[in-house]
Amino acid sequence: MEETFKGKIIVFAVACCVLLLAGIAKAEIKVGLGNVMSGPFAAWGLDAKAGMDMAIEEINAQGGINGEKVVLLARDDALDTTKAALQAEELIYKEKVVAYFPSTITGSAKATGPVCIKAGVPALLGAQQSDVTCPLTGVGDKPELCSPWVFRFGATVSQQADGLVKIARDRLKGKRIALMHDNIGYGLEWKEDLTKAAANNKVQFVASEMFPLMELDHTPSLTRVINANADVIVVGTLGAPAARIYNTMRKLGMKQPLLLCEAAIELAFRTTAVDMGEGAYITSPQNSSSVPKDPKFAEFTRSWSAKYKNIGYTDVLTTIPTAFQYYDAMHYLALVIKQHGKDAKKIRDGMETLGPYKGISGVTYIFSKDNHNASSHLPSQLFRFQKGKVMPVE
Amino acid sequence: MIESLFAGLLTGGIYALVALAYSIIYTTTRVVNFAIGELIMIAAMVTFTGSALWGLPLISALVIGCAITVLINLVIKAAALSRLQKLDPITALLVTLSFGLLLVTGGQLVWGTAGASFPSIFGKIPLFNLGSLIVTTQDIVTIIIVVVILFVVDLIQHRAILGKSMQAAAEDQEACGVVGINIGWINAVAFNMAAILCTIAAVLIAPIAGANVRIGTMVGLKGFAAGILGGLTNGRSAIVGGLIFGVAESLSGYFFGGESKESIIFVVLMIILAIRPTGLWGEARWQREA
Amino acid sequence: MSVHPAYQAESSLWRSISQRAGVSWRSLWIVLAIIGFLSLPAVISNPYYMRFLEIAALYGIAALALSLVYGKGGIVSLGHMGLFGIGAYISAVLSLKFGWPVWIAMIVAVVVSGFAGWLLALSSARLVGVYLAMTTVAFNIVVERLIVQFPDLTDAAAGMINIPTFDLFGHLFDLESFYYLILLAWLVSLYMVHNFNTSSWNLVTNSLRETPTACLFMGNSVPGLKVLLFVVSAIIIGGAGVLFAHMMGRLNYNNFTWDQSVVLLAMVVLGGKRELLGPSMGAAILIFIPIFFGGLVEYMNIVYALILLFFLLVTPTGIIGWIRRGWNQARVFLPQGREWKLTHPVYSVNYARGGDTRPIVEVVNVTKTFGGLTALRNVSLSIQPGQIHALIGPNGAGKTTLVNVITGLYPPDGGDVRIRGTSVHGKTPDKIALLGVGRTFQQPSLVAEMTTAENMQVAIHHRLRAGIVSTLLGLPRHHRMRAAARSEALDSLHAVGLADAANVPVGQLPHGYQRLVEIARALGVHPRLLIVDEPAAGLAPKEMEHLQRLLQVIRSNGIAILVIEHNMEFIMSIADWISVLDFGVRIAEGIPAEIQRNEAVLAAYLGE
Repeated sequence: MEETFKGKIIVFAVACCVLLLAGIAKAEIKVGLGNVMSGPFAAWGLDAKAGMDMAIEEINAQGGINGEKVVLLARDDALDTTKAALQAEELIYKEKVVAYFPSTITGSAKATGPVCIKAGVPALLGAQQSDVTCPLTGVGDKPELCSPWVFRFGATVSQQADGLVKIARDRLKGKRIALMHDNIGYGLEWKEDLTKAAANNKVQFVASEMFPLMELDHTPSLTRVINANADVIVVGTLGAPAARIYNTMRKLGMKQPLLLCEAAIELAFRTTAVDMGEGAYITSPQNSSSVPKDPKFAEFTRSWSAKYKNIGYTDVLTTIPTAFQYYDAMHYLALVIKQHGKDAKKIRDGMETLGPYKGISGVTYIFSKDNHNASSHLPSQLFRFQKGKVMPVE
Repeated sequence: MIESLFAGLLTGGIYALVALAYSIIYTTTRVVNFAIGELIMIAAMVTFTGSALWGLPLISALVIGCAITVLINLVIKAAALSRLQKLDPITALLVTLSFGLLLVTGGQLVWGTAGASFPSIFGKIPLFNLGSLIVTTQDIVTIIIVVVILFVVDLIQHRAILGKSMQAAAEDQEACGVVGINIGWINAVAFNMAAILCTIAAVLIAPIAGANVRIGTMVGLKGFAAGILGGLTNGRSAIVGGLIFGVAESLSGYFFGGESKESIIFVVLMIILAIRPTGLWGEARWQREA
Repeated sequence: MSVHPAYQAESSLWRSISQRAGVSWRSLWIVLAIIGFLSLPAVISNPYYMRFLEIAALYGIAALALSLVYGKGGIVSLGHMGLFGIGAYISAVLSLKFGWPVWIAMIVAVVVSGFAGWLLALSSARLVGVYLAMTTVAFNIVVERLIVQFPDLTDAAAGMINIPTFDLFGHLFDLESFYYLILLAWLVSLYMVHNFNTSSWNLVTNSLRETPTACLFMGNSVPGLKVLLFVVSAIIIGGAGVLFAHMMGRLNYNNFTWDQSVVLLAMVVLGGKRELLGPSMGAAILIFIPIFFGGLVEYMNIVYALILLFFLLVTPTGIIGWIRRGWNQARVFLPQGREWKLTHPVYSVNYARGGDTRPIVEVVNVTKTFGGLTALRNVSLSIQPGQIHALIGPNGAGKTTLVNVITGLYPPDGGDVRIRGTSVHGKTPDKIALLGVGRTFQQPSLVAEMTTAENMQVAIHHRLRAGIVSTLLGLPRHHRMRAAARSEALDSLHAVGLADAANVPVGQLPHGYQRLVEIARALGVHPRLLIVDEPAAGLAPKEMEHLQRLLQVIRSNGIAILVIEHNMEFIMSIADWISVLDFGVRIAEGIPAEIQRNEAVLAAYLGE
């Protein structure tokens, strides 16, 4: 009797030891990514991961960084911010990643950023659609991520807001501009920043309509916009909701130019909108054109789409620009680690001093000691949806 | 309001199919097969894979989807049914739930976590307007299919020898063996009928819900809840429960706003069960204490 | 549960260590474990593991709470994460959105959870099986939807953040301080449940689970007990939810969905649903497994599912049950043919003596129909104190139906039953039992795994028990009542001559002894009328003799006895008065000698 019980205890103890040993670190450079990779917004996270995977593959093909292979540990938070925070804690405290890439989605980034800051690990924001940085980075005012540990590669909403208003006024010749935005954090942030940018540019919105994110029929709001005699309609929301606005406008026979913010570049806009959103405008500081002039970038998109066809995309630029932003960010980080080593503080200082870096899409990122927003100098560009492609407007 | 009523009848019809699937297995074997929700998902995903990814004609993909769903259900039956019939209802529930979990997880491994949109089989051609709602071919065909299937199943259950054998199986499985009814075969038929109903439900739901591994869970739960509402012990009451559930859900959305429709419908279910512990028309048969 | 010393097979190694140390080996283990837990933070300083440890402990408390309702009460609840969520969100909203001091928010949240548990109990009281499960799922869904529907309060889509931490006289609790608070909460909840387990509440709950009808007839309000279990469970799990909210500092509603309730149930099942430490172990395992899987979530869910399947199908007593079997491998079983002594019954009470010459029970023109069948038609009879009144008749005559009407299980469709002058109209069986009616059942209805003395306590509970609060807190009253109830149970057993079998699990007693034990149990409600349903069936000659003596001794106390029996020899030897039923009608009544010669009776039995 005692033998069987002792036997069970011994087996249990051995199992524990084995499992613990399995966690002993090998000589690798680990980087962490937390993003949304399932559900209706999965494209954002899968894109980010795809971009990083490609970069890491190239890096490891060259022998890694200083002889060590780079390993990406990715976690799907499924838009659950509590889970995101726990996953960040796991990657930072258990897996000991040298740097962490928070989610594209604002809520999760706000959850994971503070974890990085508390632990003293560099947080690299690949492509946030919303302001999540603080005065240190030159724009925005969100204290959660106010820290020298946070670096942002993508342009902020307030920066884009300014460009968007200018484009509406100058290039689309808008004299009576109407604003529509959704009711979640993203849309509310656009409203705030667009209103400020409008004031700065001596523009006044003739109508300001808020709608529920999942609203299907926008007739009531658009009727009010028509009654206000608007000649340009600016919309701050994600792809699918923007498409539903577009569809309602078509149903109502409205001809005013529709100007969308960067997030609507996602595939969901074109698959949900009638005629793939033909004729709608969109602004972005990134090079979002479907026909890039740079041969290197064109080659990148071809190999990217060939490789990642199984996640449902056939043309990388029909997605949001997250893929190549994260690709650029990963390469940037690799360069910094190559020069300064794996220590967290050294990486942080190194990020600030690396100097201008040209990304694959042709965009140049610049970090400095008092500017952690690498795209702050980029102007907003205007594009138009034509036959399902994103075409630059000259 | 008429749009909500119409939409409610449509979803109610789908719930009725699912409730009937649960009811058929329950009334024949006394076991609740909680993997039904995930079977719906499997049917949808296999059909989608066949048609969208392998380029097969939709009907062939559908046949394959149905075959695989039937197969998986039979595997569950073979592996666990006799065990489940001896367990108390809750353990049996947990066991079939675990099977469902295995299906979802397996599905995630095969198809990944991102979703895609499911092609609308019958085309979204607008036909006529009902109030401000545009009724499409999809809607009409859904109605036709649901009505036909429910009618056919009802016919089988109440007229055909098969149906009578299934009723007998529900009463006493061993006694059936004595009078020459092949119990194993009857149970398999019940499982297969349920699997076919799942496939049909899948085809009707997927164009709305999309093709991803998560579509089965809520439909499975609501179909079950609808069956309980009407009374699981009787195919007809399960069907009516499904319709009532769908219409009530839709009308709650109309009167109280879309966000509250789920809380309202489940509160209603709780109240109905508190008043009639075995559902509106269910009988208190085979109630073992959980 | 106390087990006869002969059946305890503990490892000799631990016994010798503890004997040498002079303390009970169990207390030694407990102290060592507590010291271990207290020093854990020093060993594991990694915040990630600390957080998981704390989450595991909180889920351990939650699973323990669920095991009260599910493991002990036998009521399946798939809505407990809804209760957990209510505790968490109420405390978070009150402290974050309304600025209440955290400790007040916590207390209010726990009270609200208890209230929600009460609502859940009410809505599920009459349900069983899958219907019960469904209603609890519905409850959980409603809670989760309500959380989402008030985004101003709960930030439902993005998740609630910046929930204030617990503040004790200026000390703000961080992850490490929460460890100690949560550890304390865990130990307190184990203490409370341990107290519950050693009280007669536990015994009555076992009876509720295994033999609910008998439980009811022993004077216990079954619905009341269910509500009590739910409320206590809800308070405990609400408390865990409160700590969860403030420790995490953030909440997402999808932590509290109905499928999470399934996971919680799985934790209970995995560890051992009737074990004290089982739920905590199940929680620890299911919480820690993800740590080893990192990002391979899909594989992890497969492992979850397989683990669940294994423990449901193969070892339903959970891991602790499995370990316990290894520990007690040589569980000594009763060698066949062990003779249990029956001593001469000396039962004596004074509550039924004297004065009362009214009939104990008057059945007046009672009619009872079931669907198309008339089971009783205008039956009248009168049971006098201090008499053994037999009720006989062919099978299907309606004898047990009449007893069920008298004891309140079925309301009569016509006529009335008066017990000591009070009508039974509208009274539930437990209330009628307390009016002084004890009964036994045709099918044995004892809880097999409890000892004889413990089964006795089921009928004593309503008289000798500490309130649930005293019990949970382990107040002196709890200990006093424990001792008093146990002592009365033993005295009663001695009085009826069954003391020899007092500490034996009743399932191991021979059939005849079990029937005698049932009679002894029924005496616990201090009955003026004792109803025995076919007591002589399957008794050995020695047991039959004892039964006769026992019934006579009971009668001599002034207690009336109604005996349903088919054994004519037995009836003729002890009955003072006989009523005969046939097809729901009373066809004869009189002293045994008359009945024996009555032609109608003979015709009924022999057929015409």
